[in-house]
Amino acid sequence: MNDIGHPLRLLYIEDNQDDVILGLRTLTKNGFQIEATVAHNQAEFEKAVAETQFDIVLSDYYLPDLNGLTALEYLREKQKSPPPFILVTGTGNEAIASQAISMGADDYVVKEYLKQQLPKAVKNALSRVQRDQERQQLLRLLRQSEERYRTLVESALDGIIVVQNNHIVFANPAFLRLVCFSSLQELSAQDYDALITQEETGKSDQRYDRPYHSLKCADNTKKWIEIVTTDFTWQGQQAKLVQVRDVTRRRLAEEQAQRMNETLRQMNASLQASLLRLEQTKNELAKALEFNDRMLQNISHELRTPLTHIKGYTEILLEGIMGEISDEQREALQIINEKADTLNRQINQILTLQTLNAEDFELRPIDLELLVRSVIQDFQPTAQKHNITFQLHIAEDDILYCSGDEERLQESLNNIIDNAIKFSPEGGIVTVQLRSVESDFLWLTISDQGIGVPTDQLERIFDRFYQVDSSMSRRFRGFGVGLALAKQIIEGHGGRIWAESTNIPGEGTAIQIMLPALKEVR
Amino acid sequence: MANEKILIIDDDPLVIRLAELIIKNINLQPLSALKGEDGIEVAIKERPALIILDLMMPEMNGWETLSQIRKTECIQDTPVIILTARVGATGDLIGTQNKPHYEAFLPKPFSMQEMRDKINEILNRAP
Ligand SMILES: [Mg+2]
Repeated sequence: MNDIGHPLRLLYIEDNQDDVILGLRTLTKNGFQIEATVAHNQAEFEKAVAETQFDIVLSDYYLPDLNGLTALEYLREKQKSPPPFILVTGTGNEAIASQAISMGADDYVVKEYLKQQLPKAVKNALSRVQRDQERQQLLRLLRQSEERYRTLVESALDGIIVVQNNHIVFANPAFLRLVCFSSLQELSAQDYDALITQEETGKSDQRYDRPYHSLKCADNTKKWIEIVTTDFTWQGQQAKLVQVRDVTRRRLAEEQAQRMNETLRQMNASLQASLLRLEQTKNELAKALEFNDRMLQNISHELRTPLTHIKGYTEILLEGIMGEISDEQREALQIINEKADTLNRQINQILTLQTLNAEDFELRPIDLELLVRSVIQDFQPTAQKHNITFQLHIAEDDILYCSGDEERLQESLNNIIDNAIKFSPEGGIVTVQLRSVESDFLWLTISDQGIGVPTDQLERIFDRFYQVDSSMSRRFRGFGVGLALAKQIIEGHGGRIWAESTNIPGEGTAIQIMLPALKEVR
Repeated sequence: MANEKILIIDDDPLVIRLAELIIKNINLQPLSALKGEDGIEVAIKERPALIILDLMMPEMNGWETLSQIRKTECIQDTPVIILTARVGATGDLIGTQNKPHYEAFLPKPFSMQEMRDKINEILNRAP
């Protein structure tokens, strides 16, 4: 009959043994398995209660040193969950019975009807205990479940709030921390829509098209947040569940990245501008150079036009087309014609000097000995006119080849020999010496017996239009552009050219030329 | 082959006079024009055996004149000697890219001999 899984531990507080036997027999007969303890007095009662946790207590009302109500009171004081208590009374004691019930007794049984009433009373009491236990268990489970949810909400890193009628009615600690309020009460006083507002600028999450919101904190600072809102029912009323995530750092990082991008864009723009300016400058420079070249072309053109007339009509006269001319007239006309050619050559040299580019050289192996001999041959008539002789010293066993632009090299030798003749006195000797140095270089020396060049001016004779001094320029023609052009050509071939002079009249000037030798010919 | 006509087009009257003297001297008949347009007219009318053409001329310059000659059917095959003072340091003609065809060029200043040689060469005559 009892479902508690073990014999019913029953405390029987009764000094009358017959009553005890009757009660126990009644219960046994009704199917209860009982393990009974009988207390005949207060001492036994207290001892029994101290030793055993009983499932149920039956108590007589009147004992010599104890009554049922005292026992009930004692049990309820001593035990946290006191066992069900059934009072056994005599007839006419209903007042006591009802007092017992009000003190927490489960039931009472009248002695005269013990057989009829006791089993039912015990059974009810046990059911009540079982129901109580089940309810306790349920409550415990409920509490545990609630505890789990509370833990979830309270330890969540995101803020979680419940909003009703534009006021926050619940906030988890994370949200309180975020918004800097110390309690929900303070927070509830705020209007929700003043606290959290949508921002126009930017999306917190492009994937979900989620706009940024801002949160006004208790200290009046503003935080960037991202929210997710769900409608639900809270305590029977419509509410919004709002999840709040602090994205201030992300937003600041984004802003910083944006600023950085902006800075980079600006830097790029100014770089582009600089490049543009550079390009413009380059173009202007190119234009200036082009202009320079064109100017030079124009000047040459302007100079050549009258030369064309001078040369042309001189030749017409020389040819006798305009009539017979005397020998003296012929000589004079020949001088004019020659000088027109000289002038034209000089114009060409100036142009060359301005436009010469070593990259345009047409290099091929050149026998320098042959070139030197042919240049000297060309100058023989001029030299003879001034009674000047050439002395040629060529190292016969040396290989005298270099790699060069023949036309250009010839031009530079022409200019140097021309100068040597120009500065030689009547009857002087121009010495030309050619040899190789360790078969690495070809060494050419052209010396005259003129007045020489002051040592401090030696380098300057290769400058354009250099003249030693005005008195010299009166006595001799200037160096013009010939040496400057020779220098440019020799250096364009990877060679060197310099002048040596002792400044002793008669010892003259020596022009020294070094050119890289061509070691493997053919 | 005597009395072949040689047309000289140059804005410089002194050069025209000079060229006429040289051309007459080798028994050819000189024609002349001071402008490109006039030169083309003379050429169409007289059909010279050779045109000597200056480059630097006001209004229609030498290259434009040469283009017109090459486009004008009755004279387009006439050989042309370009005559110019606008040459580079090495005596080469400057800026000849994309220019119409010409047979020879003579840099100014020129010698009589050079002009005679060029004319004879193109007319394929013994000098
Ligand atoms: Mg002209």
